[in-house]
Amino acid sequence: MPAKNPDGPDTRRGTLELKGVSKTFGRVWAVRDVDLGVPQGELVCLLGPSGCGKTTLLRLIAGFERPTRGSIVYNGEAIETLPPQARNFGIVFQSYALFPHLTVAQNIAFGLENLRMPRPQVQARVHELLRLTDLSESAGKRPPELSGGQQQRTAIARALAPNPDILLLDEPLSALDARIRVRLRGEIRRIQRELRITMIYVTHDQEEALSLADRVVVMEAGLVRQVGLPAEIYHSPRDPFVADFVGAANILPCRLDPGPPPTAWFGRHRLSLLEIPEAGSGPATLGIRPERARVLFEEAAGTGPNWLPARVEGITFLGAIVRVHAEVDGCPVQVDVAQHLLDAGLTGGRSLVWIQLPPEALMVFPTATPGDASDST
Amino acid sequence: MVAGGPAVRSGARPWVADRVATTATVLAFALGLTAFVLYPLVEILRRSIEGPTGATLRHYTAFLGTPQVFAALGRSLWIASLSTVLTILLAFTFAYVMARVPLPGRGVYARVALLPLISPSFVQALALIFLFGRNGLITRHLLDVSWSIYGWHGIVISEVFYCFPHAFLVLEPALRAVDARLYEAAASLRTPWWRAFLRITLPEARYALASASFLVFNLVITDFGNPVIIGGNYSVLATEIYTQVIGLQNFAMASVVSVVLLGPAVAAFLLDNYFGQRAIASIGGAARPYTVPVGRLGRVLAAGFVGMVTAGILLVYGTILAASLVRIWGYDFGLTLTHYRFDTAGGYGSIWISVAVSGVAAVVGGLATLVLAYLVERRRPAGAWVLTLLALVPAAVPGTVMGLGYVLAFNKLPLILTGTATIVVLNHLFRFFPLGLLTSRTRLKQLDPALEEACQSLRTPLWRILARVIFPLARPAVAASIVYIFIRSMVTLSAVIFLVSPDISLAAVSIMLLVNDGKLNAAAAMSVVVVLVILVVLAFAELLGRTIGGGHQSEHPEPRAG
Repeated sequence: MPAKNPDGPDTRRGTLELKGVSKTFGRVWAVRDVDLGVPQGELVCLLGPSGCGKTTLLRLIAGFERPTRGSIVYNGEAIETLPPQARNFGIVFQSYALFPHLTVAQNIAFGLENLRMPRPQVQARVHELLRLTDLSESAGKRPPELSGGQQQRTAIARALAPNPDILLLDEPLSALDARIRVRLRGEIRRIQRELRITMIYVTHDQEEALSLADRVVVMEAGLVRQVGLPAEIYHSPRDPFVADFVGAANILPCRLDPGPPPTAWFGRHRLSLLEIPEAGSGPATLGIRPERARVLFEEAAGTGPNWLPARVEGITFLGAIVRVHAEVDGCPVQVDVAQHLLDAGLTGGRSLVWIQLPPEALMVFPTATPGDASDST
Repeated sequence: MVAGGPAVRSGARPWVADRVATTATVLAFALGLTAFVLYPLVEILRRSIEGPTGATLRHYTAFLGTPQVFAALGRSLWIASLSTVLTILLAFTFAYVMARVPLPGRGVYARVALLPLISPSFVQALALIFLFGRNGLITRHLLDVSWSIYGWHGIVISEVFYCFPHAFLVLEPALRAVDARLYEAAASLRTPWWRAFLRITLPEARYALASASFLVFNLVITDFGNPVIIGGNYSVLATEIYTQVIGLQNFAMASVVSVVLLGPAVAAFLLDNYFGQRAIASIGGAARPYTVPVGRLGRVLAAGFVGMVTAGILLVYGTILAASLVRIWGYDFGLTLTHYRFDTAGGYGSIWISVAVSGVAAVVGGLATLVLAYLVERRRPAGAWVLTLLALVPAAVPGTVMGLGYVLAFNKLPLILTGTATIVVLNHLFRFFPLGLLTSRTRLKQLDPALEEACQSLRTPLWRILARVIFPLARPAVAASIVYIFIRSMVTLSAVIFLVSPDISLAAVSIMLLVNDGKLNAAAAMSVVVVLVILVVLAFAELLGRTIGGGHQSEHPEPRAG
């Protein structure tokens, strides 16, 4: 199958660039100083907790809001003052916003009819999209008769019908239950790959972001915290917020001592580090993922560096893993252990244990000012 | 491979045309509302202070100085207050029973209670004249007393009948939406029924009570039909305006009286609004409906009361019907249809003209209010609040005042419309605009706001959004608006009393003129015809609604499994 548009040159080539984009509502900075480049064909996820500005950023790109400052450039053209009708972007809303009195086919055709496309062409295109989104059997039904997943796919088909340059999705799966969400995620990925269309996808679900995105943009309080590949975001978070939002992380305050050897002082405990980032001394923050820490229900510590005495506060059974809630000198530390490795008998009701924070698993965050997003690609 | 779609570049220009269309529509509404709501009212104000050498308060001092005219103010306040008290007592008790006492045939009682809504306001007065007037069935023929119903007491009784359904519609939902657990708690604390009533029922219903009171006050003080028919020489502000215009050609004084009437009318309207919103807000999701535990005696008394009220209402309409069909009221009760010929009133012409102007006003009004509601709710142009305010002003203005305003404003350049059907249509349209606007706005608020954004991103032009999305989803609301406006237009008298002409006669006015001429039977007959027309239209609308199907759900879709 040729990848290019058989009607002519690839009219969808275009990079979206956001430069210094900010948006205020009254005195609240919903989005602050965002720089972002999205090349053609990429699936970018805007990830963050509620109120972080990801939806506002999407709406700025869509044209429903105007930036207070900064510019949005698509394909070399500044578009921040253009209304949504003038931008060729498709939008999938969180509530789907389907026309309830029209059938699936009519919903999909709606945008095409606005473009004054001749009837036969409209029909052909609608069929294409029904096939693409696996809705051929529901073409004659109306939204109230559809399941959540079908409604979602209709919304996607409708947005894709006018062949938009970019597809914007605002938490499209948040209203669905877990199983369907996973399935639709795969569908969306498949569609994106097949069409090679740029997608900007807003979500608060980090699992969704990690599994879908080519690149993830982590946002908090209007700022971009980090941009990078999913693996980078996960393994090399730039700051404690990213470390704890994407996956879980134990956060430990410490003091850095460049040495050599590089050391972090956690209270009276000495932790070896692999390396210290520049200007590394003084107060800082350590992070370690629960699954990378190790716990030993024994009298004595294990071999190797960075063993700390801890007191067990509780153990939670989570199915595949068991989470041990402990405290080191009053600071909470969670360790995840694979369930089959932890026998009830092994814990023996022990409350004093040893926890290891392997140096290679420690993430070091200097106490620097947040807000400078580094594009790690 | 889903390539090969339309290659539309960003920056396509049709959206500019859309902007222009939106602005043009908004301006059209602004122009219309200014011309047909603001301008007439300003004219009245102007005429009330117009003097040969400039602005003057001469007319106001004349008003205060003419005891005959000034007394109308006191009289208006008196009958409005008295009618309010009596109506509220009656309607509250009725609503209480309907909401809380299980009675057989409840639906029938409710329907009858609403009957006065679909007939001209003065039909009550007419019936009372047939029963208690100089040739009244009861006063003359049954009891042979010389007491007659004419006078302020007749006005009050008619107004109570007229306003009863309005008050009932406000009070019943408030009394029904009660949390039974409050009363159960009170019962467990051994609270006597009267204490529960005073400490729970009344406070719970206080907003509805206030709202209903001010609503009735406004209805009575602005009513023209009842006072003019049964008031005799007892003139109130509304009839005084009429006298000054028709009888004395004193437009300046008429304007002054209008301004004076505006005071209490607008105040009552605003207070009704204020309390009405509170009343609606306080009707939360009630736990369980509450039924008053009454014994057999209580239920009999309740049924008796409700029965009496509905019998009274039925008596009114029965009397009208009977009077229209008997040869000579009080003397010859042989049946005849002669009164339905309307020879002296110009035949059925006024009926058809009324239907025509009401129909046009209703359809245009229903659609126009939808468009305005859409613009205000979704497009939010600058200054939308001014438009909304102007559109809602007529709800606060008495009909006679609006009518006078139209006569003063459109009897001269730049727009001469007096004596035409157009002025009547416009008057109906803008007078009942608030009705349609409210209905449409309520419906639009139920729609997902994201639908509008979806339309924008799909590049939908304004006309298509209205035709393909908004109208289909708001169809039942539009139909309701059309029906409401039609009914109100058909039965209103106060505004159109000044707008009729040799060419344009209207049913409500013809009825009044027949009464003035002493041809009461014909007046009754025409009233019956008006009510029948309305019933036919209602039935037709109901039928249409059923065949086309109700509106569609458009609230946020609930995800189902799969």
